Amino acid sequence: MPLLRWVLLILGLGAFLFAGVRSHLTRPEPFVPDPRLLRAVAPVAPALERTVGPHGTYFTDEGGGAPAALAYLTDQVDPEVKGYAGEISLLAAIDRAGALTGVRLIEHSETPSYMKEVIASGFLERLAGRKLGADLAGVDAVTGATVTCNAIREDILRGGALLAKEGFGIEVSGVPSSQGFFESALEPRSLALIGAMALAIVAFSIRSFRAGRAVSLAAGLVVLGLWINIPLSTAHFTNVALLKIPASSNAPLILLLAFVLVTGLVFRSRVYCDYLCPFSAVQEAAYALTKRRPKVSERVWRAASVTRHLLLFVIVILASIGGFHAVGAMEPYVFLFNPEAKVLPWLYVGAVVTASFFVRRFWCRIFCPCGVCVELVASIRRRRGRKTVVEDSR
Amino acid sequence: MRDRSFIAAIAVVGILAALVLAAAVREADPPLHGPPNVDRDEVMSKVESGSLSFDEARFYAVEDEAGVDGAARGEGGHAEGGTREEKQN
Repeated sequence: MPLLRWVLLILGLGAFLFAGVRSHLTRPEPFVPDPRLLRAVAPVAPALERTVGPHGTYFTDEGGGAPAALAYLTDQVDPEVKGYAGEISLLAAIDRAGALTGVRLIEHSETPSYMKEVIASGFLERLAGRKLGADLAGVDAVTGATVTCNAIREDILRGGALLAKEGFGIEVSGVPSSQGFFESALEPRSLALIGAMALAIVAFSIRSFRAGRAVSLAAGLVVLGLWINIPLSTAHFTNVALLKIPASSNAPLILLLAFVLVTGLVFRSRVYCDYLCPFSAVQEAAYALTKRRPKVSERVWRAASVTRHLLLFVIVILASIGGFHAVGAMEPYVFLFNPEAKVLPWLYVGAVVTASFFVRRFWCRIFCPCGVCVELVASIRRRRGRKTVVEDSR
Repeated sequence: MRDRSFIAAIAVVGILAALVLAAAVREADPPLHGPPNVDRDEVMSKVESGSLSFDEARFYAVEDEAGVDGAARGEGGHAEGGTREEKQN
């Protein structure tokens, strides 16, 4: 079994290397929107021509006189604004008064369920008609997809402000400066996360105090699962491996990844999985109601535990070679904390939670590919023979 | 829980996980070969109205590189020129 895991690990790393070389060698041509799409966002201008300016490529009707509208793709003009997983491509248009006439989503690498929520909430429609500046900046983000909404708003606003000055000579005021890491880290939700992480480290350090772990997991459930809504998923690790680094304004995610790295290296253990993961908390709570010890043979256990590595391997191949960057966000907790009105995700979550009543942390031990990533970090300096909380309790 | 029921639980969750993964692949990045006989003008009008993202439209309407992708780029394609079968006929 260890040999199979090593083979999967080496093949997975090879896939990331292949994806890196391929993206370096083949750069896709920039997207040019159809005239119908341009008319949809800028109905005041019947024909827009492609123009290359100092801040990037945009589309305007410079037939003579002053242009009536100006359309731009946010990923083709300055500045670069990242969402949850890279830049979001939006087609936006402004009129000569500096008001947004329309917005269309072109392409993104965000978690699909988050983006669906943004679209379904009518967030893009709410932006249309707003003037660049404080008016546009004041549109409320969608709860549960704050990072994505902030990136969309900021991308349209900052790119539009540059082009409004260039195309119409309008000086847009009230453009908020880009949020830095420290500003984001001082927000209440980041501070709550720091508190939960500190609690997890304290609980890990005094393992003899068993209630400490329960308190720490409960804090993880409330802060990570219910409030900030960023339970760590495999997509976060595959994105980092594909050099899709989170935006500096996304302090909670950066802090969480740093927590996994630092605790893995310092404590040589999966502190995140055992003391902070909100889905661990849900499973532990389910198991606490029954406390039935499974009578499963060691041979079956060993064979079953390889499933996690196989699942991670499939995700790595899909994300790296297949280019499906968001497939790593397929863990049940993503659906538990971002509920969708679909039958399949609920069946999936229901099956896992039901199994957790009979097998302690069923998902973590048999399936969790994210746990394997955390384990890999911890194993960099892990002492041979050291066991995790779950292994100790088998 | 004994061996058999344990394996059955793994099988059930495994199948559901595979279905969710397949759905994630379908939603994350549409395949190049979408379903045939799609009214591509309808798809494009949905993109224009904003009820469908360009990403999603590619799943519904693209059969090859010159599908809606090509049409949206202003290069012609299925949205303007019909399906591959229609062209062959």
